[in-house]
Amino acid sequence: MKISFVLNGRPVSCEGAPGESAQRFLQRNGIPSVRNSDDGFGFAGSDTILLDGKVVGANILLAPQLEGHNVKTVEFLKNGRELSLIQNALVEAGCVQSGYNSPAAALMIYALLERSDDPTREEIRDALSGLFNRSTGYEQFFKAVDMAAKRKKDPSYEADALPSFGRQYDIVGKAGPKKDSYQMVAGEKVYVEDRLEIQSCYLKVLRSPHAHAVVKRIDKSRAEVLPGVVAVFTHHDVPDKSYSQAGQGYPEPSPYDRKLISRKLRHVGDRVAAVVAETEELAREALGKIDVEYEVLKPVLTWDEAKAPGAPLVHNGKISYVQGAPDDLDEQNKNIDEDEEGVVYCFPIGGKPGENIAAAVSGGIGDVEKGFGEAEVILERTYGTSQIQCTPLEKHTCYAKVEGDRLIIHASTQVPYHVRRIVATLLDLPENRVRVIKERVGGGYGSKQDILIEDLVAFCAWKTGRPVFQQYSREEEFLSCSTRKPMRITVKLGAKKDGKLTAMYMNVESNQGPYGAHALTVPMNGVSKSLPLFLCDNASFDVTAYYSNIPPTGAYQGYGAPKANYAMQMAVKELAVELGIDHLELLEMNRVHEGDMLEILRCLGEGREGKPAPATSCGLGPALKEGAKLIGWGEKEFSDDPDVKIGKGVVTVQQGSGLPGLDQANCTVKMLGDGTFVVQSGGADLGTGLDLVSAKMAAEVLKTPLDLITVRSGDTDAAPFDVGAYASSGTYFSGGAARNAARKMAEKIIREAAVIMNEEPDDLRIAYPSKVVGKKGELSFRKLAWHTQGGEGSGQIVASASFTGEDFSFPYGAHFCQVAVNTRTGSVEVQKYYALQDCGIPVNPEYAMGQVYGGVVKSMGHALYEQMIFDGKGRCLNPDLRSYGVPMIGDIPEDFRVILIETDDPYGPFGAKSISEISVNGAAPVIANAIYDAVGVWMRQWPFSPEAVLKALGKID
Amino acid sequence: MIKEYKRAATIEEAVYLSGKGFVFLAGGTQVNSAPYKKWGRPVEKVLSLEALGLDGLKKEGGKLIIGAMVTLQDLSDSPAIPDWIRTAASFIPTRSVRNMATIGGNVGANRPDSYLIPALIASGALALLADERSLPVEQYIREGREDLILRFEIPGLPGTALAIKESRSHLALPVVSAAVRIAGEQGSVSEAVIAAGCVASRCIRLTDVEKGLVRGQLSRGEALEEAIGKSIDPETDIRGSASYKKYINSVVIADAVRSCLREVER
Repeated sequence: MKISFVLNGRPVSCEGAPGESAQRFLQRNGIPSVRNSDDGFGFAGSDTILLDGKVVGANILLAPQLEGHNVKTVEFLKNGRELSLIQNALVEAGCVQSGYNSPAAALMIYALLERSDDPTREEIRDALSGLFNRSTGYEQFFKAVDMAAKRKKDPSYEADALPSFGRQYDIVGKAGPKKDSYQMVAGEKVYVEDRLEIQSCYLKVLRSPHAHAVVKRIDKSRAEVLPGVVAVFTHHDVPDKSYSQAGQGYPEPSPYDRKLISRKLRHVGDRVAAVVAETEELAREALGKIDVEYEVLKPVLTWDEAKAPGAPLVHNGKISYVQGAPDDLDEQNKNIDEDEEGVVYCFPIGGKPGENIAAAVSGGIGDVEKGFGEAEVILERTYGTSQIQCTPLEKHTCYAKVEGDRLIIHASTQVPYHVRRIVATLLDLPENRVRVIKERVGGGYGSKQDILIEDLVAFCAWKTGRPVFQQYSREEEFLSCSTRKPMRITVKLGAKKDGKLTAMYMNVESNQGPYGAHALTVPMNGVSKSLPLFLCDNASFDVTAYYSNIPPTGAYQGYGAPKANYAMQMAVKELAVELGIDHLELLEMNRVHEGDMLEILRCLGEGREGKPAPATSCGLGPALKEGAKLIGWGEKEFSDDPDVKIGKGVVTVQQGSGLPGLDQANCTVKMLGDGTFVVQSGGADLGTGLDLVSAKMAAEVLKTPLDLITVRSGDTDAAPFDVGAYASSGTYFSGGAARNAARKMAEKIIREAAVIMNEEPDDLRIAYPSKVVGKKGELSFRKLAWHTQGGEGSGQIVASASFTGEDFSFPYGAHFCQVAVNTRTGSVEVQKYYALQDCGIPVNPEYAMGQVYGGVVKSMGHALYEQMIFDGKGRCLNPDLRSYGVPMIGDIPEDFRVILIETDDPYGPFGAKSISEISVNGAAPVIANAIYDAVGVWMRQWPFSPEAVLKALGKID
Repeated sequence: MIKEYKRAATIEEAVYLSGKGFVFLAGGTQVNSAPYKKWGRPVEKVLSLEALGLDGLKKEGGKLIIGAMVTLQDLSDSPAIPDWIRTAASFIPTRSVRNMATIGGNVGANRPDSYLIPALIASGALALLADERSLPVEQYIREGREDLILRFEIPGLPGTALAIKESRSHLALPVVSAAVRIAGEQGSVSEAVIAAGCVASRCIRLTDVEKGLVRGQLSRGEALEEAIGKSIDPETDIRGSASYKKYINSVVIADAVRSCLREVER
């Protein structure tokens, strides 16, 4: 049917189907900015448009409902190449990181400012009430709206300067927008879905309805004969190869324990068959024509079920080792099922699939038994965490096509080079024949560290020779993605009566799910990011990851630390209560200080031998001091409502900066013909501003304005190798590589300039802007480039460098909060939250703050609201954003502050340490501690829902 | 999957086509949304009511007349609307949904956790139908009707009223969605209406509690909570256990009743 309406001021008439959503209709008709995050649930806001001036969701609007109306999308806000003042304010305030919802935010603010000149905080909350923003939280939007409102009245209004750091540097530590934020907020085509071409085919997957089953018979013939169906693949058609989807450096510490499509199904949502068809509807129809007979097996859903004698085995294929096979391997392989794919370990990680153990490790320092023997107080507590979904706004999306003898993959990934390696290996291709182009990423948070869909999309494209596109539904995100692993953590602490710790022990049991991605490293990282916050000569741990039939787990921002730190910090608070010592005092007494040697890291090497490392820079002292002052530590607050009790909490947090000894980043800097630079970085910018970090590194070294530096990253053909964006490695490793490459470039510039200027290299220095200054004169980079790239020149100046190392740089922080607990309803309101973070010298302050706000809001969600709920058969009952419970702007604290504590790390590039993960480690324990302070109950299990609080209070059974 | 879309030009046409399997489409937030489809009511033919002129909001002889296509945002913005109905409309936590959702669509969808339906029931609202009959909203809901509603009439009833909600987070599905209206003088209750969602397969009235209040049998102690608890039978689901939902509805509704009683006493 023809649908006529006014689109961004222009009358248009387009063909649409009666049941087509307005979102899809608009995107199909050239409006990329109206996106789909929730498949018609009307929740996330990515589909926002203005209909007759009012904000509505295009995903719950039918295309024919546009008839006769005035429709505006973000495209109308721009004037030529100029962004509107609202878009500029969003960029300037640091609101645009992954950017998938930035056009929606701009439209919502536009509508707000049309009805209110000077909006209140409450009006802003209401205006942005339908905006889900996982990456930066919501706090910075208040500043953006304020800025836009003031500039609407007075275009010359200058907002208060954003905080600035690193006084000794010109560019590092100073706020300034990243370049992709302009494109994102304008709604430009920057994501994988925007690369789709007209002739593309669609991939849909038939998924297992059972948590544990075997495909006894599968008949795809009725699907294959449908006109427009290109191919149907089952377990019969895929490579007979075990591999891991974990995006980790090779050799991975994750077992190779899955096939592309397996005969054995290990979770609800596991792949049964894949259909490639010329339309999405056809692919969906074909799924319904695949006949499958299942043999349903008893599922294993918990730790206890996994380790019970006679438990069903999630993996019973042949076990093998690339190196370091254990002596009892033959014994382990005695009763295997030859029809099942094997489990391959690259090296020993303590796995025993015959006991449903994917990985296990133990370690310790000192003499723990002796330490507990010396203790005057011993406390042992167990804490539990639930399965959490990353919920990126941009669902998992991939587009692959064949060009000549090469496979081209457009991916929304944190690890383009791992995608290349894993896909090449799976398809038996050399890596030179696979090109991965990481597009802008609309949120990853760990779930895009794994090769969750690129493997199958690439296989289908390679097999069929057709361009193949797949985008998960939101339901698939919940069922067939990677999630935060549920854990049960027991902490035992021994202490003297004065509070000095004498022994610490952690037992971490992890519910790994069906496949072994990150089975060892996530729980181990939990230990390595929580135990070292405290100094104790005697400490030990046990870690066991159990296979089960819950939806897959993997990496998620924080990588085990949010759970282990919850347990550890809670136990310390419980110890403080037991000892009658103020919690803050106990933290101060036992905490790590700058220069302390972290001996426990000797046995936490993530699959290789660890080594102790010093805390070379540590801002914990000032963070605790400043936070205590801000929150009014020790001062009791009271509510006017007798049912409401107020409490305060404090915790410390730690993370790493990449994985020294394991990670590597590379970068190339090229001088162009006019003396400007292209930086080819292997780093994967997820919207966090990593490209800007690389640009600033180069600009700082080369004394060149940022505008004269362009960063190319994420394309495996166009930049050198980098492990990718995970383990908080971006600034430290990728940024470090950019700094090193720029330093090499600087050396080459000096050498070349010395010849041209006829001066000694030692007499020359690089000076702002883009020139070499000597005793006799100066030479601009433009002239230098002209010389070097001329017919008699020495050649274009190109410098490459890598960043590796054995030095650790740990970011630290202290989180404080104040909660109000309603003892009648069980509701917990976080009234104040202060996150004081030491990330060395923050390279991009506004984006660092945004990541902290985002991390805190995420972890508040995990602690209070979010929960994947299952029935007894392993089926997730709430696979949508609303039922699952992600936090929105209406949930953030009224008083919410991020304070960056500056330290100068000796190993980080320009004193920088990581920021991306650490902030998720604080909310659960600090809120739980504050709840105890308010009402005297211990919340030892996520989430602290009103029902759970009421149970703890004894109000309900 | 919706395969046919029509725009009704007249009320008669709308009524006629509804008999031919067309589902009324008001704002679309229910009919078009994925959860609605999941409730086992896939819609194949929809009929837009947009051209029928069912908007507008006016006062008429002490009554309030609200067109069925008035949006929930318009309701929550209008000073002519009683506070508790405005509050109930604004409980829908996102402005983009409130801008689309209509009062008629909300009642027509008959969600068991509707924020608006309890408030309309407490207000004694009447639904004026296409065949010129008028039905109390309570009856429309109770009977699960699907007649075309043209407008709502809210009488100027006495008393004081409150709409309440409780949910795990700002946008989470509610565990409490209720409204209370109590009229009386000098401490004695002449009329009590308590309407609650989230406790049954549709929004219901807690008539035993209402009677107990009018008869003065429910003191303000725990008897009120107990009476409310006895009159509801929520089920365990993803929002919480049955016992939690019984508890939370009991205490939150009881608090609302007490708050209204205090007003009546003044």
